[in-house]
Amino acid sequence: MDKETLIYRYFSNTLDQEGEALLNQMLETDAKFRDRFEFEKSLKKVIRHEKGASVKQKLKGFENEIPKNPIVSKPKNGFRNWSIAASIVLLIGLGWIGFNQFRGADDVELYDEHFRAYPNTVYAITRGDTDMSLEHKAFVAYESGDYESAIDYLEELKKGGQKGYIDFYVAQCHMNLGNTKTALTLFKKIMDSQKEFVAEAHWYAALAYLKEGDKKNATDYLEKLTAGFDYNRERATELLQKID
Amino acid sequence: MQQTSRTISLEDIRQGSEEVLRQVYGENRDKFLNFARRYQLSEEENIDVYQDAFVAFHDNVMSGKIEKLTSSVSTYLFSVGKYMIFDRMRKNKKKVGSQFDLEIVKDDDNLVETLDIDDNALTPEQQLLRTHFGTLGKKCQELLTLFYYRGYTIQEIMEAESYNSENVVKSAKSRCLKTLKERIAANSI
Repeated sequence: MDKETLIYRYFSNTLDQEGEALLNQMLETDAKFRDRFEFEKSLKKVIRHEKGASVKQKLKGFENEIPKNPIVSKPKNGFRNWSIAASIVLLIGLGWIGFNQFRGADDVELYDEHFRAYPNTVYAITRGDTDMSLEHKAFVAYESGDYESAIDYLEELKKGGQKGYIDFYVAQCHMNLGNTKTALTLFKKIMDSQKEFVAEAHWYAALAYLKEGDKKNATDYLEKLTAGFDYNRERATELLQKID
Repeated sequence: MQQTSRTISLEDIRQGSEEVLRQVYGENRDKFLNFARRYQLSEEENIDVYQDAFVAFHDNVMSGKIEKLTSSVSTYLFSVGKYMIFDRMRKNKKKVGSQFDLEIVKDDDNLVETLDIDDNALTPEQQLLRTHFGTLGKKCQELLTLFYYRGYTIQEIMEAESYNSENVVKSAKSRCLKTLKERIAANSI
């Protein structure tokens, strides 16, 4: 293979293993060849840089088009009466929200303190993995925190045959997305099935209820967990004391 | 007018339409920012990282490094974004624990490993090259871009740009490179 072909194949992504070995050898022994190769490689980098800068400029333009939180302007005199009426409504509204917020503040704090996404313990993602199965995609998405895509892949996986863990990880995704009600439905289903992740489902159901501000159900599930399982017993006991 | 969004393919992205870019950018933005907020960067930095991750993804699609999607677009963006967030945190000298080690991120997200992410700045020589590349004629810039950026073969360039033969493409490419080198040399003297 001549020098011209070697360089051509490298940049058109058609260089095979043998060619790659030859290229490396030439780069070590032929200074003129190396200079030419480095020049073309720099050119490639420069063009990528230019293209990247141009795409980023476009993205900044898209970003500017996205409506941001509106800035509230000062009301003018003509709006005085409306302002007073709106203020009264606002005060009542804030009072109600405040009441609920304060009531639930401790619960949310406790939830934040105790909730951690359950790690992927069922599918090993390894370096250089060539597995492109739904299961692989699902857990790459899950571990990356892309819970919406993980749900899509897990639901798809479920259609191909039941795997005991799917509902549990879908529920985890929903917990992370803040959909506690959907997660609760799934945790109850897991508890009914009496198969995998039953103890874990109790713990997370308790946390979901805590987030919902339902201390009674949260306590019920924590008591069931400490009475019937070893999983997270210490943390559950500690949380029970804090709830009380 | 009713807004409709359709499923975007890699080929759609490669066609270079601004509307396609806008749609993909918008569809993944909020998801990405929600994900990024768990780390210690400001909202402004998160947006900047999202854009950089998007540029890297786009670059790999255009160069043919990503030939087909093996995961959703958002998974690619999250993997690249996570890598970039940790890199920034390290550069910002924020407190970075062992869980934020870049090597670990690479191990976990093998998608990043399959991509070509070049975040090094241009050297002074490359800056000079950049300046002179910009002075080349449009035809030369297009030809060199197709070859070095898109990874097209000579035959593909001939077909895409309606050249008469492969030899014409080869000669044109050599001329463009020669001109570029001459202009850099003249500037360096």
